[in-house]
This record gives sequence, C-alpha cells and structure tokens, in this order.
Amino acid sequence: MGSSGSGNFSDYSGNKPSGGSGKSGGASDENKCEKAFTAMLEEIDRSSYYIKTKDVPKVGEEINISFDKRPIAISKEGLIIGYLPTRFNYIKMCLDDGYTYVGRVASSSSGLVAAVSIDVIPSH
Amino acid sequence: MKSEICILGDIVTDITLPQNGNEIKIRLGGITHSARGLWAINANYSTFFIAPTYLSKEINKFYNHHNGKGIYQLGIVNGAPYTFLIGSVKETGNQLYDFILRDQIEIEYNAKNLKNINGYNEVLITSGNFDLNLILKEVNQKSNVHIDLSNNISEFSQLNGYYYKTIFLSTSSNLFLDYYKDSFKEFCDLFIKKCSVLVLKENRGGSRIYDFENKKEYQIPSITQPIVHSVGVGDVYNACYVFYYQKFGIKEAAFLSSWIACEYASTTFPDDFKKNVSRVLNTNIEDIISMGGCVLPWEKRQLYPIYIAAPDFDYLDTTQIDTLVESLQYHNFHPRRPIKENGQLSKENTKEDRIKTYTNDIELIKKCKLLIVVYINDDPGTMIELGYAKAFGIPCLVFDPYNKAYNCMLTEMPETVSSDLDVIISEVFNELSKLNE
Repeated sequence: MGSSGSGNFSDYSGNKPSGGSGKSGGASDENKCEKAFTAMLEEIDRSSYYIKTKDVPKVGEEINISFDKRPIAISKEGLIIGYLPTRFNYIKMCLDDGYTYVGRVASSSSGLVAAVSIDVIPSH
Repeated sequence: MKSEICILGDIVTDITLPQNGNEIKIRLGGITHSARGLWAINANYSTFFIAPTYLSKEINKFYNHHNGKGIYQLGIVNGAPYTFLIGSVKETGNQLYDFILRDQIEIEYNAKNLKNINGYNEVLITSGNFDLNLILKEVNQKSNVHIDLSNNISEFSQLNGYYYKTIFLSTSSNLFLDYYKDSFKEFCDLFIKKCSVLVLKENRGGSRIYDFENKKEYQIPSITQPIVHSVGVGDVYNACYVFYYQKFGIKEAAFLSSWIACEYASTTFPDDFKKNVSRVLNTNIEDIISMGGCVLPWEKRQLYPIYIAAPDFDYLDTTQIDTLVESLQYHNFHPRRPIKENGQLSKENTKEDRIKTYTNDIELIKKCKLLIVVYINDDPGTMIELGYAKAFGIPCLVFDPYNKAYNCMLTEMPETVSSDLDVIISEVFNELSKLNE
C-alpha cells in the first residue's frame, strides 16, 4: 500500500497551490474583502433610521456600508439602519483598503422585533 | 547587528489529521507560529530552536524564506520525531494533541550557540521540553524576557529565581486549570515577584492582562470571525504583543495582537494571512479598539446556564449531544441536560410524574440564559422548548449536525442555525458575552 498526501511541508509563502484540492501552498486566491455577504443587522431600534422614521426600510431599498465605531449599514439619506454583527468587523479593514460596499435590504420586519437583513456586494 | 527580538523554543512538526472533510495538513509548528506572526508584521527576528536533526535543513530554509535573520540550533532532539498529531483543529473542545513519544525525548545542547542568546532587547521563550534554567543562565540581565508557560510548566516552583517581563498562559494550560479559583486577582497574586506583566489568554473569551508595576488591569476582547484552525494562535498573539508593547503600550499592543491572532486562525495560507495582517496594520488603532469584540472571562461562563434541548434519551444515539456538551464544558460553560437532570419518562409514568417533570423542565428553561437545540430528529419536546424559550426572550441556537433543518419555525426562530460545531461554540461566546456587557 502506498502513502499519499503528505510528501512535504505545505505552507511556504510564495508557493503555488499544490495538490488536487488546492488546500496547500502560499495563497488561496481568495480575498475576503471581495466576498459578497448577507447579514442580519443589530441594534435597529436604537439606530437613527428607526428613530426618525419609526419604521424599517422596505425590501429592495439601497444601502451602503460605512463605519461609526463599528461597521454600519446606512440608507441613501445617510441614516444608520443598523450595525453589522461583530464577525463582520473585518469590513472596516477592507473599507480602509479602498473597498466600498453596496447592497439592498433583503428582508425587513417591524413586527415582534425590528429586524433587517441585507445582501451586500463589494466594489473596489 | 542583532535584530531586536528573538524567539526561543521547540520546533516541531504539526500534523493536522484529516477531519471535517479536509485533507491532512503538515506544517512546522512550535515557535514557527510566532515566526509567522513576526514575518506577517514585517519584524526582524532571530530564532533559537530545539529540534531533531532531520528538520534542521528544512527549518533553515523556512526561516530564511520568512524573514528570519539569525537561526541558531540550541539543541538536537533524539528519541522522538517531535511530531504533534492534532485531532481537533478548531478547538471546539479539547484539541486532542498527541506529542508522539514525548517521554523518550533527549536533547543534546549546543554550548556555542547558547552563548549567542545574549544581546537582544526582547527574548520570547515558549516553554518546551528543554532545560529552561540552562537557557536563562545565558540571557543577558538587560534583556526583557517573556515566557509562555504552555503546558510544560505546571508548578509555580518552576518559576522561582527569575523575574520575567511578561508571563503568558492560556486557560487550557495545566497551571491555570490546577490553580485558578474563579478570581483573576487571586490568581495574579500567585505571580507576584515572578513577572512584571501577566497575560491570561481566554480562548474566544478574550484576554486579561495585569500590569504589576502600575497595578493596572486590562480586558482585551477576542475578535470573532469564522476560524479554520486554532493551532499556534496564542503563539502569534505572544509574538505580536512582544514586538509592539514598547512601541504602543500594553493595551494597544494587546488589541493589535488579538486581531493578528484572529487573522492567523482564519487561514493556513501564509500569503493570505500576511495580506490580511497588512490591512489590520493600516487601520487606525483607535478604530480597532472602538470595534471591541467578545469578552467573556472564564469564571463568568458558569453564571450563564445553557439549556440543551434535544432528544437526550438513553435509547437513542446521543453522540452529537455529548460532543456539544463536552465542548461547552471544555470552555467552562454550564450546559444543563433536562432529561439527565429531571428524569426520562416512559409510557408507564403516572400523570403526577409527567406534571412534575414538565414543571421542572420549564423551570430549568427559565433559569437558563441560552438554549441550544441539537436537531437529531423531530422530537416534539425539543421544538416546544425552542418556542417557549424564544417567547420568553431567551436567545436560541440550533445545532443541526445532519443539515436537516428546513422548517421555517426551526430556521427563523433561532439566532443561528449551523451544522458546524465551531459556529455554534462561537455564537455561544457571542450571545453570552452580550449579557456580560
């Protein structure tokens, strides 16, 4: 029986991905700043959009991603709709690196609790 | 001229065993994790290592390629391959390390290279299988010596006779598990006159730092992103902290280190890591601090009981429930298993028995701060408990190991649904840390 899969050390900087799975090598060719994402916003009822309009934005409404102590979603009028969950804090680094993010409200409700989810795509 | 910082310790081979559909991964480990961190932040550093001869050529090649300026072998390891097998790469629970043939390790020291340790401003030692006192004798008294106790120093007597600039240890270390009595202050007192600064790394719950000289405590959040591994993440934190603490101060250095450690955990591709770190370094440190993260100290986790809603019956396979509970307990959480605690009913039980068990289960839900469904089958009790907890304002998660959840009540009611235990454990930290704010 032969051996497989572990013929050498797998993570040299600058190395091309090797092996059929592409799981070794220096870089993955993935860039997290260039990934689209979906997020449920937080603190909606304490954000300026809800406070001012007493409502949540409608499905399809345009949003942008910005920063105010944490990454935030803002409306076309510049009101804060809500905060991105903390796992999206890396977006701040992407914003500083020149990426911008636009998106739309994917779902919203002001029923039991105010809730807004957004679909976002990056542009450099 | 020597670089300002040197790292010192074992270099091993880390073998991440195939798991979760991923292939085997073989990397240089030990202090090489710290080296990757220093390389990513463009620091010049020297390396003093202990390793078997068969790795020496590879180590020189690797460190030359990753910004290492001086590379000195302090000792040759005989008797063991110096290989770690890693069974649980994400540390959802115990990492299941196996250090092959560790009891057979013998080290031949290189007296000439030992003399070269002199002359560095900062010396970062990761304790290992080597003779620490032999090393410390060679370090110039003007050097700031930092040490990670790892799992190799398990008694305070082993720290006698030396004053360290920084002592790092984690909540998975033996010294912590044996001596921590639910009070950070009392634990710090055990380190008086042993170090200037103590850094307790609390996994996904952040880190706490005590500065003995200025009598100041710092609470540093962990940064929550999906991770692909947890191996060597603490070593990256140490190296970045040691590189930055003089330049930026303790708090700022620790925040940066926490971010860089998080980036290390999010990939095993070094160039991806370096690119992501460069973005962190280009971000204003005040913004990094303002974003915060997850703070949930070890002893606080016991204050937030977690209701496990699942068909936890003795006639079913409860492996997935057991795995979740073990993972929660590893991180010092307090899972409650109602069927184990309040009893399992059968058709023969009386109405009185049923009322009593029902009441006890409901009372238990009310006491809990989080509910986790383990979705194994369509057990009605599990579903009712989910709805009840949600209506009661208790945050809920669904661990769906077989990817079967599609009913909208089951997928939309909880805060998170995932088949990935790592995601569930991260969300437990996130949800309960909100109660700690």
